[in-house]
Amino acid sequence: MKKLFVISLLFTISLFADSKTLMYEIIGTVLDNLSTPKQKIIYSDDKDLLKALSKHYAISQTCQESTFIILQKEQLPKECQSKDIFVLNYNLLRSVPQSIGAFFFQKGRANIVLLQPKLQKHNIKASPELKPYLEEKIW
Amino acid sequence: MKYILLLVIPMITLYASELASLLTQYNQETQIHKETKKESAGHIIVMTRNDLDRMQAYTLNDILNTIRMFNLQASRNGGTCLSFATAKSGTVPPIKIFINNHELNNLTFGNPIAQYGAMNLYFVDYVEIYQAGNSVTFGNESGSMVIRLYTKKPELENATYSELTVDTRGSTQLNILDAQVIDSDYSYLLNIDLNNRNMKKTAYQGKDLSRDYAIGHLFFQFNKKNDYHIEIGATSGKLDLFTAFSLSPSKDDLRGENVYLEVDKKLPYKMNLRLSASVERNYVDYRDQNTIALSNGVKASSVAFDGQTSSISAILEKHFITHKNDLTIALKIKQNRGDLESFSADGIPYNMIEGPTRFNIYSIYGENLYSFDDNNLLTIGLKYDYIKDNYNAKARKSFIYRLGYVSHYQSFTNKIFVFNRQNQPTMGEMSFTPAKVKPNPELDPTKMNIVSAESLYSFSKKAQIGIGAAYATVKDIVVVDPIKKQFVNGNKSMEFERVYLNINYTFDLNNKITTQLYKIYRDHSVSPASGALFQLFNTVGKIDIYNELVYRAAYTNEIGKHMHAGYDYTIALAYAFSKHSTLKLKGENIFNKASEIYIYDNPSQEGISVAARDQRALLSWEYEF
Repeated sequence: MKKLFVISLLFTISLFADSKTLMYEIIGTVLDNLSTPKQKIIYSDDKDLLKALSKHYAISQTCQESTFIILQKEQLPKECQSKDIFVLNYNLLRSVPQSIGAFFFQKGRANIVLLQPKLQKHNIKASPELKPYLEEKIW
Repeated sequence: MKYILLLVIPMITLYASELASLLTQYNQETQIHKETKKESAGHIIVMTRNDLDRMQAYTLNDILNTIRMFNLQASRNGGTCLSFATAKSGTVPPIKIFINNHELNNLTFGNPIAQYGAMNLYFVDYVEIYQAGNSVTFGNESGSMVIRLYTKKPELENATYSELTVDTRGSTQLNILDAQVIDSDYSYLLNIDLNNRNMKKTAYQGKDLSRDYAIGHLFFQFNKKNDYHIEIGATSGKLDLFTAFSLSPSKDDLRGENVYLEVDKKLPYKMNLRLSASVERNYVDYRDQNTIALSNGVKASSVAFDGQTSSISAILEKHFITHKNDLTIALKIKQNRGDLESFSADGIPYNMIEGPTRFNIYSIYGENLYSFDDNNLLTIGLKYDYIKDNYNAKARKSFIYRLGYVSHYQSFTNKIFVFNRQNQPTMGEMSFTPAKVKPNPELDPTKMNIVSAESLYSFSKKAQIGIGAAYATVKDIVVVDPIKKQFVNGNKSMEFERVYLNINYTFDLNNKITTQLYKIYRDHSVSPASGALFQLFNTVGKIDIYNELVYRAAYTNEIGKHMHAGYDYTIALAYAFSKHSTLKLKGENIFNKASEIYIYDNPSQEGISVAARDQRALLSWEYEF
């Protein structure tokens, strides 16, 4: 089946790998450019992302023990809702009001948004590299 | 998954410094055209969303104008038609256009471009064009080229945005698009397009001939993830008929409406059910300064008619996937129907229907993709159609096959296809034509045998060259008998060869150049037989710049009139002055030298020369709410 997929779509699998790689790289770059008051202990419901980040960051398998959450789709328990949350979906940016920012698709393109008031509330500093992605509110 | 992580880990440690550059790369890698592109289905041209945005392709005609081996021409009816290079202007090849999985119908003339050429592309994400040997699994009756328009995906849009366009001829166009995910499973896309288009008037004997139009178009799609999708498209508009009946109209109005509904449902056991219905209605009110000859022999100075066509179809598909085989088998039932509600000439009603008006089509088709290994694929497609109409006692039967071989070795990709085709005559040719030429219910399908091959070589990730060639024989072509003034099957068979060359070079993520050259070899050529396309995509700071030159060779038409070579030059600039607003400027046919056709009533009298696209400048403002 894999062989068939490879030949009929001509290297889609490798392109997929590239896009995943790039996505992890983008999120890693965002994390690197955010200074948080506490050491970042990352939790994510995207297990592949968590594994990829584990080589560079301390990670946690539960949101309770983490300090920074990267959320793809799951609902968080109450005790985790006040932590630093970065979401991977446009709808989550609205439905998880405490999220500090998002990586999501809009108008067919990938976007990064970091909400300035939320960053201030959580005492997070963004480096100049992230300046173009700072917004006052969700548009 | 392991190998993905192996790739990820070293790259994460590197962290490219430019986040913007990473986002651009990511956007390139995740363009959704990669999900549907079917290499085994023919020789493909893909126009990505990024391409379409930068080309500022407002209508389908803007992309049809660039397609190799075809000429986008003005139509006598006021719209456009896409004729095969070397063919007589107005000759309609059976081009098939799909919006997602729905085939756009034009049952009367078999030319969907007549209605849909002016269709706005605001809701379209990307376009795939399959030349030669399109897959039978597309489900269409056999055609010479398949154009697939894929709409934007709500889960990648999450936005409401609009665009207002004005041009130097006083045209206005407004598009509004809203696409959202309702919860994780449901999503919708709504697009509304209002287009009031003024075209350059063509002077003839002191009168201005008009091909202005005003069209409203609605598209709505509702999806349940991995389950079903429902799609509704509706168009309503009016069009000045230009020179449809003669060069001396005093009133030439066409009002038309069409609507379609498509439901696509995934079933258990890798089965898929597709139900589709469409209705089209046209009202024509025409008056002439002189008299015109109708197909029933009557001469009249006014004609009015009201015609309706409809089509319903159901397709059931089943996929069988094994280690080396990917087999698709499908059953299709379709009914096409055409009704002339009324027809009158100088106020006198006539029955103008001379042939079948209802066609029941039963099809069975299948295609298998067999992988010898990672680099070699064999494809075999078979399709059988049984067509019963309400006029002829005998049913028509059609059998087509397609064999293909695709190989990939290092930097080479090679494709070869051998196939036959049977193009059924249109309802217009068999049953109803309003003027001049009589229909013929006894027409046979046009039969073609084709061999086509293409070789692509990538010098690096940046440079690619492609060479293609094809040989075809055609018999039973539908032509007009000049004595009987009726459609008949020509008794001469025809053959042609064609070659093309593509060279693409990508400088970086935002800058690339593409070129196409082609030539058709045919004994009797009456339209441009060769052509070229040059496209240059650039980004300088926040400005996207697009340059396009479409060349079509000089030619001598069917009455010996020499027509100059066409140079249709387009430039488009876009400046995003905020995250929510983009200003766009475009010039079309800037030198006013695009290829033209010659329209005449009588070879001994003077006619007019007209290009498909006017010289004009457009200004657009796009705003995201």
